[in-house]
Amino acid sequence: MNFSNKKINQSILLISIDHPRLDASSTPDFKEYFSNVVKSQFSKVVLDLSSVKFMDSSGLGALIFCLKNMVVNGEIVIVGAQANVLGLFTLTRMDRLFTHYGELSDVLAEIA
Amino acid sequence: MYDLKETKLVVVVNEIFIRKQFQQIFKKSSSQLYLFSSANEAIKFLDKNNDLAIVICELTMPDMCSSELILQTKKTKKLKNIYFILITNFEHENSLVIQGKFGADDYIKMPLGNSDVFTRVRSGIRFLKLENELRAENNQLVQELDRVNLELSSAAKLHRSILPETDMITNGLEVSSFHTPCQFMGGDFYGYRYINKDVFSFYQIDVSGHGVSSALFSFSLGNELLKTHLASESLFLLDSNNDLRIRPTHSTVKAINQSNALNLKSDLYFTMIYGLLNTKTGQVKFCQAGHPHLIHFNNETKLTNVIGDGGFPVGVIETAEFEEQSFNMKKSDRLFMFSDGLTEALDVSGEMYGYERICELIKDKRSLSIKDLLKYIYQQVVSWTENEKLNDDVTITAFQWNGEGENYEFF
Repeated sequence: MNFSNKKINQSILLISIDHPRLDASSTPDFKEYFSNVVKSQFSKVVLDLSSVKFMDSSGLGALIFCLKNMVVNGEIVIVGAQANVLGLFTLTRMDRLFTHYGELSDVLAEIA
Repeated sequence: MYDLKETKLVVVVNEIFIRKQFQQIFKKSSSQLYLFSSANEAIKFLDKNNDLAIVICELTMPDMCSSELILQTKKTKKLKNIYFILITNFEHENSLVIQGKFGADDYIKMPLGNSDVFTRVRSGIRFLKLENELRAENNQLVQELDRVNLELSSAAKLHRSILPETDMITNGLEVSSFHTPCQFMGGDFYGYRYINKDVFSFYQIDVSGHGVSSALFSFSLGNELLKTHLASESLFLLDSNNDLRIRPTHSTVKAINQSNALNLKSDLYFTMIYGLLNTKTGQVKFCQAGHPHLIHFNNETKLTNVIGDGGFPVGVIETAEFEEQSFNMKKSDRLFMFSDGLTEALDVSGEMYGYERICELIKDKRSLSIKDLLKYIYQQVVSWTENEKLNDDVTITAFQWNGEGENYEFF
């Protein structure tokens, strides 16, 4: 699994999933990576999903798990989700828990 | 660390002075050395002694050549693990060539050097020991796997016991389900029953993920819910006039979402649809909690309609609100409810099967009974993936409302 991260500022971390699938086979690695890089240091994570073509309920479960294990009032926003992936977020109303932005520049503009 | 004493050293050499040389080499190591002048004698001996053995032989013996000897022993089950060292006169052959040509494991060059022989034998012993250990561990793993498989099969039987056993046909309603877990047990469960004379309740639950942890959660959840929120008495409530009314679907789902049965710290949650069908009027009320949409087949127009506005899954947000939606079925209409294993099945290029294709199948094959149609849909989706089965649990339930029935019976 390929993940990368970039610190945006003291409290915001950008994590990119450079893998086409976020499902049962890749979620254990993702959860481990997420907790290792986010720790209690960052209160907001911008998650770049633009390379993810397929995400299932396990993938969504992993995001929820990560969010619940962040610091109090922690937040995860998603960027660049493809149609299939976005469909899962709307079906489950998880788009209300994870705000979606089309482009990374949109998020950065809002944060800055 | 490897003991020469435990390993039988069988030497097959025609020349007596070479046999004597072997005796010399191993005199002090008190090893079990057996000397033979012909291959047949050696085979006879090996046949009677089937423990660890190293055979050192010449390329050509009086009664057969070494490759014949090797072939003969490899064919015999109890002798096939013998380690062969060839004595060669070749100056430039390397061990790979020797192995390839004669099937031996190693070789010693003539004239024999004492320490060379000793080293080769030692590495042979080490090889045999490792191979033996590996075999023992492998056997243990196979036994362990058999045991786990057996236990999983009985757990799967238990899991099936909370699912409806058979399809149901009453005067007014036909119900059929197709369920197949991707492994022994799945995270899906479902059920349906009349809760009073006219109202038929149904639900389908899909625990996120699949495999044993999902299945265990699904099983305990299923048992818990059938005792509590999905138990008949919980599906009713008293209104302000103290009249007994059927509890709205979203209220039941909300109560489940807030129940203690859920561990909000885990990443297991579930999606569900819980619905009520009035078999007198054909009205369907349902609450969709993160579960795939319903598909309604209108028998009059022969068209399908994907129904549902989505909703939160259960077990994610404690304070989540849920909604009830409703629509009407007409006589002979069909309703389909399924888990995401069906819509999210991927073909080799990674494309999802999706709702549209399912709708097409429902329309095209409307002449099939709902039972046969469900099987057909599943087969079509499996062939879409080009696998033998899907890699997620799949549950499909279909209802055909045949208009108001005067009586109902359970089958």
